[in-house]
Amino acid sequence: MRDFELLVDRLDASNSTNAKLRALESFFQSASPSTAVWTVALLTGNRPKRLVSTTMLREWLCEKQAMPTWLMEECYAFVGDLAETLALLTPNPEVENHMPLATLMEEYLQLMKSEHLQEKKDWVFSQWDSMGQTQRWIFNKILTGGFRLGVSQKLVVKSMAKVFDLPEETITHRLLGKWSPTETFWQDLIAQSLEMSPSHPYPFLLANSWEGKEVKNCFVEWKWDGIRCMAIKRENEVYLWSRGEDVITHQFPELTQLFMDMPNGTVLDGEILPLQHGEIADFSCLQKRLGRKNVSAKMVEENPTIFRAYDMLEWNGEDVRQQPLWKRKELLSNCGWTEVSPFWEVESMEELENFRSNAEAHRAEGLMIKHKDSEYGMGRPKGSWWKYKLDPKSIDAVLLYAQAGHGQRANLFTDYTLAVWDEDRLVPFAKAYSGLTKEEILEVDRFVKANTLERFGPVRTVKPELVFEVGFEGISESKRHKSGVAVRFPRILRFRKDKSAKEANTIQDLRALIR
Amino acid sequence: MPLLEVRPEGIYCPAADVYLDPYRAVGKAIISHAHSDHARWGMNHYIAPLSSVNLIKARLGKNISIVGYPYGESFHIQGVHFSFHPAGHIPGSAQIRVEYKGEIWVYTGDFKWEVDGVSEPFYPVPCHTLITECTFGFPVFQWRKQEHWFQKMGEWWQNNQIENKNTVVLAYSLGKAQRILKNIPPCGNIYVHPAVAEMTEITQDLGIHFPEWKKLDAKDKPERSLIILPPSGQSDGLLKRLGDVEIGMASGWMGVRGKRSWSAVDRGFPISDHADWKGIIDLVDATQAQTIYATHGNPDVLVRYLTEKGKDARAWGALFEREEG
Repeated sequence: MRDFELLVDRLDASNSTNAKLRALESFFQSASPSTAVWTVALLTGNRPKRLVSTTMLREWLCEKQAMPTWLMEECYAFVGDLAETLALLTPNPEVENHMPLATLMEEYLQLMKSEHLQEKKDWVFSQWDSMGQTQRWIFNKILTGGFRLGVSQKLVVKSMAKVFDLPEETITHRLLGKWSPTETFWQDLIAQSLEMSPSHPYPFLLANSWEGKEVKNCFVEWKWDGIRCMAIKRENEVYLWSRGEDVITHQFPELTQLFMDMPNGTVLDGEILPLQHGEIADFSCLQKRLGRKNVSAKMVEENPTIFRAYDMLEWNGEDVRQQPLWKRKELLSNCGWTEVSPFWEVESMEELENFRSNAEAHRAEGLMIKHKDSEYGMGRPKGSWWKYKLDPKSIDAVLLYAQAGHGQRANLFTDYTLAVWDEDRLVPFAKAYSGLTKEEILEVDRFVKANTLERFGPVRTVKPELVFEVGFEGISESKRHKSGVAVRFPRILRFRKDKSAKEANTIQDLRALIR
Repeated sequence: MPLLEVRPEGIYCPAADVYLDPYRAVGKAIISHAHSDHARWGMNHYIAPLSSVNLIKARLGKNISIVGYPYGESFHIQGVHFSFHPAGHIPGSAQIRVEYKGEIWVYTGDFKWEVDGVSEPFYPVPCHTLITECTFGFPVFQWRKQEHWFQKMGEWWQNNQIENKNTVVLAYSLGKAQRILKNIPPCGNIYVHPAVAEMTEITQDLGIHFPEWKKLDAKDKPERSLIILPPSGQSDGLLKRLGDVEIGMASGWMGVRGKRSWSAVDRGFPISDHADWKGIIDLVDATQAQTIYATHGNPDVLVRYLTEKGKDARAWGALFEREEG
């Protein structure tokens, strides 16, 4: 595990993207195929399922170190990361043992099949006993299932592309789809040419935020608030992929059925939208479908969906992504196999703003602006696609509860519950984690520590004094929430030091924002 | 009446009418060491370990009224016997032993067991009642030997030299800075911040020898060098002058990754001048104290742990609020 340990240590030690890139490159230059493929799997989130629950790991640690549970929990609250806490609480061995990463993971996979908890426990203990501190931390990270090292998949791809002299796009493409952390898979990943399986999606093209002053040679279309989806029909099978690179074919049987009729060798990029009474409905209707393994006929009937296509990526088995957008739109409109999301040519900012002001009425969350000549590239290329969202809705709310964060924010109160007035009572309606500067976080942290009224475990009730402007993307009625409303993507826009708690908004103000 | 008690001004000895490390201006103060959260302004009279007198004067002014006593030597105030014993925390740091009518209390001030090459080595002082610091009062803190980290620090400096970079280490100007200067394997020029230089000169007068070092002047252009700055030196505009740098921080808090990334340095070295968890527990055992007061840090965890072990342990509030490591 020495190569991997060195890599993770270097990735973790630096805040610089360039240094991380160099660390990855030098790793790939010398790593064995079996270590490399597991490393890519772990860094890109393609890791195996959990061997044991984290609750079990905590119990085992306490048992092994003869430590009271409360003491371990105090340590966890202080450190903010379970894998690290467990690594810090186990002693260093006299001699460190370095098992190759692939061997470790193969043993892991073997044990996944075991039904004997004791066997898993013995294995975990023997690893803890033989590993140095960094190794234990990495091992615990694998066990607890979270690897956040500030390394994006993009960075991994970039370094691999450089070392193995392949286009980034090729590697990104090969990383999509079905994974197996084997040497064969690794050889396919870095091979100079390769045939793809029929389910293989293309990488989604993403948009930049619109900051333009003028608009020229562009199409504009609605930015829908649904599930971005790539629909593939190849070799008489349909595959639906979400942006998160999950196969969602089985969650949308009615769409799968629809696409069965498309000719083989067709790939569409579009959006799945919920429909209620013939109108586009709230995103929450879609969520009911997503969480399920299999969707019943009743579910489909109660929460019907439609697909609106934005783009065509493959036609008659030919990859058409290099063709200009206007040409692809033409192919899409003429193919007749799907509903095309409407698009218009705009030539002036005035026109553009006009469209934007109508977005809400069309139940869109903003506009997409796409250059007519743009090819369907990879990632977030400059100068091809832009998103121009509606301004977030916002409300001034009072800080009611605070909770310490995790990781580097452990020990700092960074998770806030915010409330609005209902007569003389404060009703919580949103939790927000981000949006403040480091200095502001420290200031709020000091306030929380000095103004705690009550403690419930990790949560503190504070004096209702601080006011924040909270922004959110959408708002709808909700029976599950105390306030009767649910907001989407709440975040703090501003620390309103100029306002007193009394001046914050009311629940009536909040409800008025519901369409 | 207890021998020592907590007052808003600090730890107080009613029988002698004297405070230990008070944080408000009082008449007579016995000081454990020269760090600014222990040796504060405004006392009419200071009593301190002999080897810390010049350090305290450098910080609080030449004209303060101060008297120093060597380690182990008793002095009496209204029939109460006081003595200083090395705390191993920084040069000139002491535990304060208080004895009255056969009852012995020991206040550790800040302490550590490890012999660091610059501080007078610590030894435990048997007592009935122990007032211990617990800055690192969590079992997650288990220090490794300093040789391990100084070797790593040396390797890091060499690597930075290969990349043509300067190496900056952030460390408290008194104690940590000298410890680094004394222990890092030299492989180039060493510069120190003027605040560090002042403290280092006084430490040299105590008979401690250091590798060659230079005070960082405005006209200096260090290359591939080691530069020791106090943590506040980061924002000095000084960093700009140093060109391409790697920044490291030496502090016990660096033992936790979250704390390290929050500090936004390139490298963290968990080198601490405080006792780790085991160090505190070992001290409690070694002193054979029956009553333990925990202060400074996270007393609640330590108190609960000791109570469950059958000791009479209590928290003495957060006496000192600044986090240091």
